Amino acid sequence: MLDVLKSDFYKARRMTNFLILTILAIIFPVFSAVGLRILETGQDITVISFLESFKPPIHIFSSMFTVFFVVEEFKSGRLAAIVSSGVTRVDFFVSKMISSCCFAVFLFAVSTIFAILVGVFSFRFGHVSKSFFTSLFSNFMTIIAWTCFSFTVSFLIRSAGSSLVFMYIFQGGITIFLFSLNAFLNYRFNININLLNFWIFSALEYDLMKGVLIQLVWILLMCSLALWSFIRRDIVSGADRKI
Amino acid sequence: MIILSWEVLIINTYSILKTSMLSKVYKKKVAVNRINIDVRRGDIYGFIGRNGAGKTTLIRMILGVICPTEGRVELFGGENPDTARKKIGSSVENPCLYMWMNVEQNLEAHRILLGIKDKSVVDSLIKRVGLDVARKKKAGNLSLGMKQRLVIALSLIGNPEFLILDEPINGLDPSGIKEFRDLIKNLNQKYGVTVFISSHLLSELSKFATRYGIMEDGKLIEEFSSTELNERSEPSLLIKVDNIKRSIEIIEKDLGTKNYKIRDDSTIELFENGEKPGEINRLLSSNGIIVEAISKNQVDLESYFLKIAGVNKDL
Repeated sequence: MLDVLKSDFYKARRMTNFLILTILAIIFPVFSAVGLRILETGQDITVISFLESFKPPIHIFSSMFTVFFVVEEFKSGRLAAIVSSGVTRVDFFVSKMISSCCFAVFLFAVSTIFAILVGVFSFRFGHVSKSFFTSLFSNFMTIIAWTCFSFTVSFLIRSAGSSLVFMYIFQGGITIFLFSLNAFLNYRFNININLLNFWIFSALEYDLMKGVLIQLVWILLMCSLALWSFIRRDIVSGADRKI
Repeated sequence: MIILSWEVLIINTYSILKTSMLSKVYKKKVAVNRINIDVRRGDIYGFIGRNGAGKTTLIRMILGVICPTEGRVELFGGENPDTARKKIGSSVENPCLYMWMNVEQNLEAHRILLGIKDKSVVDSLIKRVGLDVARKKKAGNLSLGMKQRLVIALSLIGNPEFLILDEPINGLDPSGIKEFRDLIKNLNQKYGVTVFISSHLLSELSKFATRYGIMEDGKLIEEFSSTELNERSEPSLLIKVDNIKRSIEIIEKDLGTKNYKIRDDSTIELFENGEKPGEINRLLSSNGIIVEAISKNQVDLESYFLKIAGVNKDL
């Protein structure tokens, strides 16, 4: 499996998407700082609020990269060649998961480092509290959750556009649904339960350690589903689908 | 000497690929129907069939890309499939490449994947398939023929013992086809590589294949060696006459055969007595028929396939 992983890193480093997304991950903190400076809201800009200001784009970048990275193997037809070379489907799957997570962490690290540098320069960030590290860890886990979710969807749908649309609509849709269900249960049955505590993308907002456990369970379930589907289904390349 | 003879016998009868009742059914469509194929070590097995016959589906099942509905595939005498597939080089139909990487990078990525330490393998393969001038060109910018050459190079990384190639010469120019033919012959004769190749270019296939399998509507309808093909392909006679109706009467009455076909309003193709054009000429001439031309027509692989596959049923 080590060879499969090396090959994945070799390919990913040469993807144009990776270069563009890395540049965007660097640029966003700069734009964010410039924007905040121009607006001069009068509120104190802390390092945590500054990092939170561009958290959503970084999640989107990592999920986009994962989708393109996975789907390209199906679309190009190279997956069939890889599997027919004796690489097991499990090895391929695990290697793709590890390399996707590594690149997501890389994007996260790059944007965070630049954010801190830009923030120190622009807003004279000084003291760093314990909550900074908690926030950083929370961001890190959310990136991993998004990566695993996009990884699962890519393996199931095998098309970049459809995967991205499904992901964002599904995530938004579920969040709205759970929010509405909370209100319904509370109003109708007087049940005071927050179902968003159990959703992968919002679990960390309420309790960090429980949220991490819930995320890990979700990640395990999603990846198991993707692996089971991948092992059982035929591999049809994008070139074949066009014909 | 006896021991050596037995060893040679064992090597020659060793099955590289064996399928037993291999089938693939998509909903109600039977794409591959209980195929039993046996490819021996050292064979160049030419796999022939019309579009939609099921050739690519069968090849994909052999390579483990799609799961069979029924039956099994045995590689290298029953080895573990994942271990056995490490000794196989393959290319399936459309050129499958990473379009954003150049020729060198595509080969390098595959070399790393296979765990081959020797980096010079990439360079030697690029030269071998004639892509030296295009090594830095992105795969997406290559012509179809160059993509095909790259795919062939990818299948050769790792020095495979068994090559499975699906339509590998599509898009190649005549010099490329000749280079490919020479390459396959060299690999087979010098290095003992077994080759399983499907192609529509039957004239090319007949120049180097040693065994053939014909597939039609998901079934393997015939298997034969190149020697058997030569025996079955008796020459026919093309006879151009001035009076076709009278000529047919003479052929049926004096030769006692109805094994002929009317090609056009002045030409008959006779499938018997192909080695006796002089006698046929004399027979017709003595009955007042003017024979304008008479020539031998060797039944080649293409004609034999068309006959067997039922495209030209009245042949």
